[in-house]
Amino acid sequence: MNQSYLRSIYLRLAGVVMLVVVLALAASAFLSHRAFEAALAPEMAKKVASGGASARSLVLKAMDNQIAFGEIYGIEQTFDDLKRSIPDIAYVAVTDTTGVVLYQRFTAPAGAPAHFRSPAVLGSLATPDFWPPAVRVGEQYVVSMPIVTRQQPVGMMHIGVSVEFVDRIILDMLLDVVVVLVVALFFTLELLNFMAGSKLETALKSLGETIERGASGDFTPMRARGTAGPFGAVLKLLEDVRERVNTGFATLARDIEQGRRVPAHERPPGLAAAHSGLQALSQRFRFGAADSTTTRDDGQLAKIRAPLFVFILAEELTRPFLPGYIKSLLVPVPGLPWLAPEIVVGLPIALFMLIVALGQPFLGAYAQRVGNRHAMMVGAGVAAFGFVASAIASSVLDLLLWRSMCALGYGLVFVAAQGHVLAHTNNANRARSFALFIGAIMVATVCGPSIGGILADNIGERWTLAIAALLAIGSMGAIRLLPRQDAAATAAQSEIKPPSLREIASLMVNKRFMTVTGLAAIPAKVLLTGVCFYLVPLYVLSLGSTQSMVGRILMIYGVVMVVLMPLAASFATTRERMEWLVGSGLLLSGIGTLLLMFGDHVGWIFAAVFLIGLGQSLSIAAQSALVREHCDSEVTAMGEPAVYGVYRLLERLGNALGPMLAAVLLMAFSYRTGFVAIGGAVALCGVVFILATRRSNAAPALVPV
Amino acid sequence: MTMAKTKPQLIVVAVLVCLFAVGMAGLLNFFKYRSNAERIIKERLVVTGTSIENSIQSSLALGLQFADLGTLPETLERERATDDLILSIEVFDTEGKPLYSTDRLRASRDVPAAWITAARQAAGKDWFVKQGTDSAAGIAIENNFGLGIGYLALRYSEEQVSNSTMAVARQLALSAFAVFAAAATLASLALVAVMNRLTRDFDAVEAALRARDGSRLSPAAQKGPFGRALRRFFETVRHAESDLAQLRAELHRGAPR
Repeated sequence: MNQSYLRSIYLRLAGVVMLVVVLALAASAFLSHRAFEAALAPEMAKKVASGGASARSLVLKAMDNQIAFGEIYGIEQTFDDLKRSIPDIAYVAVTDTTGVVLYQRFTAPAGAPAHFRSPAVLGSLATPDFWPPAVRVGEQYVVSMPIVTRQQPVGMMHIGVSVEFVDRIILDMLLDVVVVLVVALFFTLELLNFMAGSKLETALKSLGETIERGASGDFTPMRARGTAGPFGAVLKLLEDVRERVNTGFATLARDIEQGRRVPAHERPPGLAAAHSGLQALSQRFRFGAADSTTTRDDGQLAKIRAPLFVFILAEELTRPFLPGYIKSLLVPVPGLPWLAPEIVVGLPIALFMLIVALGQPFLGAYAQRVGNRHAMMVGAGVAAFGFVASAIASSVLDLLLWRSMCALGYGLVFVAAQGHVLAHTNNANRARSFALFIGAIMVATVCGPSIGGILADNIGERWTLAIAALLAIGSMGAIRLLPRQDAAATAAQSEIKPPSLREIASLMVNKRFMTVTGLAAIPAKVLLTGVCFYLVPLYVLSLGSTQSMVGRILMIYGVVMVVLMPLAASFATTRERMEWLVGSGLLLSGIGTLLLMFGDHVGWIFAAVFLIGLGQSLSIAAQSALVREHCDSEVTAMGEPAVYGVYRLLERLGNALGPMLAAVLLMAFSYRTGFVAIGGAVALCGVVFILATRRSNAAPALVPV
Repeated sequence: MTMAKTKPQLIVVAVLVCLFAVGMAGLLNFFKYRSNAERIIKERLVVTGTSIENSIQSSLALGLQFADLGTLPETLERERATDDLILSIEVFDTEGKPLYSTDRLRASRDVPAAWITAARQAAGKDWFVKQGTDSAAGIAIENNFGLGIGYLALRYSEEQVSNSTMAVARQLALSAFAVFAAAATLASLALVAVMNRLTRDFDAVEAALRARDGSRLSPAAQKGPFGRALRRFFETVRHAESDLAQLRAELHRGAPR
């Protein structure tokens, strides 16, 4: 009940904020439309006037050749030429000195004849070197230019531009505004959670527990609860009521006890009945001293979400523009002249993934030694330095070094945050705690690429990297709020050790383990990094689109994951379902990229990334759970951390492999072949996975007991 | 009421979210304006440049030498005078040697290296250089055989463009600030209103608790999130207290006073 109530509070709070934000964005669009109109209309008028000047000079030339002003042949063709050079032109007309139209082309705005005859317009005939500013006539801005021969004014040329050009500019921004709105929604939820959510949750939980205890007849005082939080007064009153009853019982018990101590003849006649009634009452209700059991504080756990979100957001900002940025820094690699640019572009991305994959055990050990909070601070600091250095990188070679630092910082923050979650969970709430951890990452994948793309387009990649650095530094502020690690937490964490080489080798030749890891986990990651992080950004830019578009496309992946992954996870309740989810997820995501066979429009890429997101959201949660299902005996023999350690290691190596594989395919073939080849291979893995798991289900000997 | 402490935090949330949304929208507006204004200005310069180029092509078609176009200086001056943005119009050969210029001082020295670089990189297309007073929009000039023989550059006042951009930026910033202030206020009030409703629910519970009478739970509190549990709570408390009272009465029954 607490969760659904809390969710309803969140929805109401986020709902009203979103409503106001929508209104604010609409007001902003309206005001900017007015500002654009006021500022750009004169500029547009000057532009069309520049073009009109050459058309006007042709008219004057014709008149120099003794052609009468009203009898110039082919002037409409000149107007056509003018429109070809300035497509914004919606109307061109030439009038005589009284404002009567002699020639015109395209669509006249409503009220044009009256405007042409107005004294204000005709008055400008007297000033041939100066023409009045553009005037809005109907749905057009009209510039009127006097046509004056050496002898006298002969008429005017009027050029109209549709007012819609400002509407088009505002509409161009609409997609970006929608992106801002979506990000604002997630931002609101994250902020609500950070600022008030955990306190509200804790307070509601306390309140619920107090009421529930009282309702079930438990009047023992609870552990010291803070009554300073929200609903503190109600909580205190409830506790007072429970304490009142408890005290009443204690007083009565004491009185009965005192009564029993006096000589029998002095005892009140109802003592025996009261004593047995008290016994019965203590059976029905619970009285006495507070229990000494302690539970972990969920508030400490929730504190990890904000710094993790902000830090991951910093890295996610770079997704849409990183390949393009690397491309802009390309230089021949000394000693390796054969190294193709496609490979070099993929190198920083692959190296990042490789460092994160291979560094996990070492970074985990470091985090255990210095404490999660300290490790996160160091990781965020290192990454912030990496972002700043990446922003001022002069070539791809130094960028490799700086991105490695970002990877080191990312890996350290990731591992330490994971350690924090582990340290503040128990078996009962581990799944929920990791949902909180994954949730922060997923929300960052929705917000980061879209905002990163917009920023990169408008302020440039280097400044966007600087903003990423600021975010990483900002996350350090939130990390400072985390508790220092206590001994119990360290002990809980130290139970997890990195997998040994023997364990890795043993699992890599294990058919059941590799069915999940080799056929599902690695291909899924290759698809993610190879297609989404490498091919999509480069391909979209090669089509002449923008980095904002790349960001929007990558945001689709995040949104689909955020919405569907929990649903798919809740559906994955049996092994058969998990296997179907993994197989069909792989198949679907593979088929997604095959869509690129049908065309090279950005819409196809949107559709492909949507299907990749859909496929991955189906398979990711089930994949991880299937390891346990498929490798029960290995888990018993080696322990769950070792089996999952190897699984994560191989999965992350798939992350590193993706960009390299995509680069090789791009180098050898083309973008679309790269998409289709990777997608086809993943779809094939999906089919083989389904067949392999069907067969193993049919043959009981292969099923772990 | 400790709920009061939550309200400032919610106001901070409202302010930050509005700041982000309106700030991002303001940034987008500004960058959109800037890119469009620059595009329009560049296109305007190119239109003027194309007109001059047509004139040069007409002369070349008559067999005149590129370096010897007698009417060109007058044409250049006339075109320069039509647009106050244009500082000077310069025609130079492929090596950057000036051939014609509306600015006598510049006619005697080579054109900026950035122009030559940009012109060569453009490979026959329009080119643009943004470099303070040396900002220019340029067009390649080809002879009748399609061979590049030089370039035409319209040097313009970047400062003038920046000034007008900044004026619009100020206007956009002001309107963004006004929208932000209004939105932040409205969002804060709305959030506080939602929280007030929540507070009212709990105030009703508090009132019932202070009155030591669970039966006085208001309808709002009864329908609220803990309504059913609260009713059970008070019911259990009432039973327990009634039992305790009975037992106490039993204990004191016939006791010496």
